[in-house]
Amino acid sequence: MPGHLLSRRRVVLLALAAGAVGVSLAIMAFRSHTAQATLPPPFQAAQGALSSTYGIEIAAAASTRDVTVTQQQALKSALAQMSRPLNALAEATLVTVTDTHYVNHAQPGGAPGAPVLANRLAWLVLIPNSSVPIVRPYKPGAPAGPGSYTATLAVFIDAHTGEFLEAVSLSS
Amino acid sequence: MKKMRPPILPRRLGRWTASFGAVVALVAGAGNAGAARSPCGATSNYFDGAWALNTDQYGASANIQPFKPAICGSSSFGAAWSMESGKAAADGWAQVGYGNFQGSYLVFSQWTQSYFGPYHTKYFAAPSGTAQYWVNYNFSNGHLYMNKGLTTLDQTTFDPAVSWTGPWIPEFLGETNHCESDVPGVAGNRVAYTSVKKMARDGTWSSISSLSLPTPDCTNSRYHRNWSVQPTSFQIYTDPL
Repeated sequence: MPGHLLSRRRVVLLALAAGAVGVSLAIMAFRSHTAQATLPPPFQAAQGALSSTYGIEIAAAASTRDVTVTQQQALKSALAQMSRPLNALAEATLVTVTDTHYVNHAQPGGAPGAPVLANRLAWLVLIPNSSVPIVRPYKPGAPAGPGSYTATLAVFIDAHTGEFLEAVSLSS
Repeated sequence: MKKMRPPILPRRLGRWTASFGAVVALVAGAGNAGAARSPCGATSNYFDGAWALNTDQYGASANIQPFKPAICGSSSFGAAWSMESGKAAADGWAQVGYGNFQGSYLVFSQWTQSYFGPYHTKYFAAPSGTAQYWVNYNFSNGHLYMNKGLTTLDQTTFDPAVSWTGPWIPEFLGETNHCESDVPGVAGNRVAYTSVKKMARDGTWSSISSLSLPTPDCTNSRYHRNWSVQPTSFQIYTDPL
């Protein structure tokens, strides 16, 4: 076989091998990019209650790109917003949040519009053992009850602006 | 606790720092609060405002003027709200309004199927002006919706038509959990509830002819209310502070 044919076959084989390596690397990169990040355990427990009680869906943020608020800043902001001591026990993780119950309407009583918070990148701050006031109805003769209940407060802080988005109580 | 590298983006950090500062300033006491009495006394629930018994309706709505009431201590609150409540003592409620909760001035919603809980509370940023706070029954899914203006804040996950005694009670009140804390409003700047309405079964809204103003709670007689235009508008306030 002529030498130039052998050489051409070698070049083709090398090109195929390089292509295969390139495709593999691309697949690995894609998988890495789209991999579902996992919520830390305390936030996994909150995830179910947020969904079933308030229609709030959260997922671990897949990327920290564009995050301008640090975890410590989010913690301080959440504690201050809820009038808790700044050294109170709390933890935060980065999530995307959609609140399906918190929606705008085009007119009173009209068809539900878009969620106010839809796939918003936010810090979810959990503040355990919080006292939450019970704002009871006017009901003369009703039995006396406790004035507050103990819950974990789940506070959402916008990861771009630091804005307080909302907080909900998760009963212990 | 998950650790993250702090981003090195000074320009954006500066913008965030400004936002954080605004939040801290808000929490620190901007608003209308005067000086509540101190210390806090017995804890219970104390009311000042309006309600209507035995009226067939499925929604309660009022425009409520904002006011940050003073509170007697870090465990206290003062609030103003609209509500639908079941008639039986053990029935729960769904409400929406605003208040000074333990020092945080916030819009809130709270609902519970039973008077004894569990309770479900949401908080949002402080009110910035008079707003319509209203609760309505959604005949499509059997849930009560808690709304502020054109925004639904939350909805119940149960059907009160199944679990509560009727007719439900529409309520529009200021409330504290200590007589030493203030209901929103002062003598010179009373908090106005206007366009007080109920929703009929067909979804139309109208005034509540049987709306009444019960005697405010607390033996120290600091809570007051008066009609502006009966039965659609009234005011509440604390005096003396």
